[in-house]
Amino acid sequence: MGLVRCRAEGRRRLYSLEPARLRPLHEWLAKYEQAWNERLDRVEDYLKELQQQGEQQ
Amino acid sequence: MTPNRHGSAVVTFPDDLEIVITREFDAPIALVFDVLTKPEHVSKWFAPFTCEVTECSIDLRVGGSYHIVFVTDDGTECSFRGTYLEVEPPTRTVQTWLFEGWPDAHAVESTDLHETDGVTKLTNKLAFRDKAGRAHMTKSDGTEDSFDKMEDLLRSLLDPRGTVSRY
Repeated sequence: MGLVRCRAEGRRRLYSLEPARLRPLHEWLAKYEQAWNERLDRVEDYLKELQQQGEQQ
Repeated sequence: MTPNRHGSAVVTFPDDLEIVITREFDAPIALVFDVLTKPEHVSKWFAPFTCEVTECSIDLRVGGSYHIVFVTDDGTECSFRGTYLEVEPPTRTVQTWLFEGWPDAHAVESTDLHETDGVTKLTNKLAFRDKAGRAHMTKSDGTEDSFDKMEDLLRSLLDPRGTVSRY
């Protein structure tokens, strides 16, 4: 997949990372994290609503 | 009024089979527990905004089962069910987890709550029976990319010898 590049320089081998190859992982993680965040944000908003109702009574 | 903590959930993948989500709430543990386990509350937050919860039954006792269904705006039914293995209000529940769209993805979900100074921390863990099950959760929409593949990529980073591409 070529996450790592290798370049020969004389007897040395220089390795470098290809960060662009990790983009699909970042994108997927972001999507999953967002879905959970949205759900738990709804939980938080609902908790606040309940607490405010409790204070008013 | 405390500021909200929107967007602060943290998702981690401690090993091949688990997904762990943590999140803090400015509310007492007993209230958070109720909101996470009582049907009249769960039906308020379980589904995304554009979806409607059409079924929400929760029999909160060891051996009791739950069944939650929501319908997306294009009419797709999403059905979740399971059986409670542990019920310890207000700190912990453990339940089997099955999404009917992925009948082979069996998981055990544990929900732990811990309150410190009025802040309740939720730790939700989904532990899949096998890697194929978790792969369902980790597929990107519309592509064949799975988290397993990504994991292999990450491993290859740690061990570059196997994947060096020469040019």
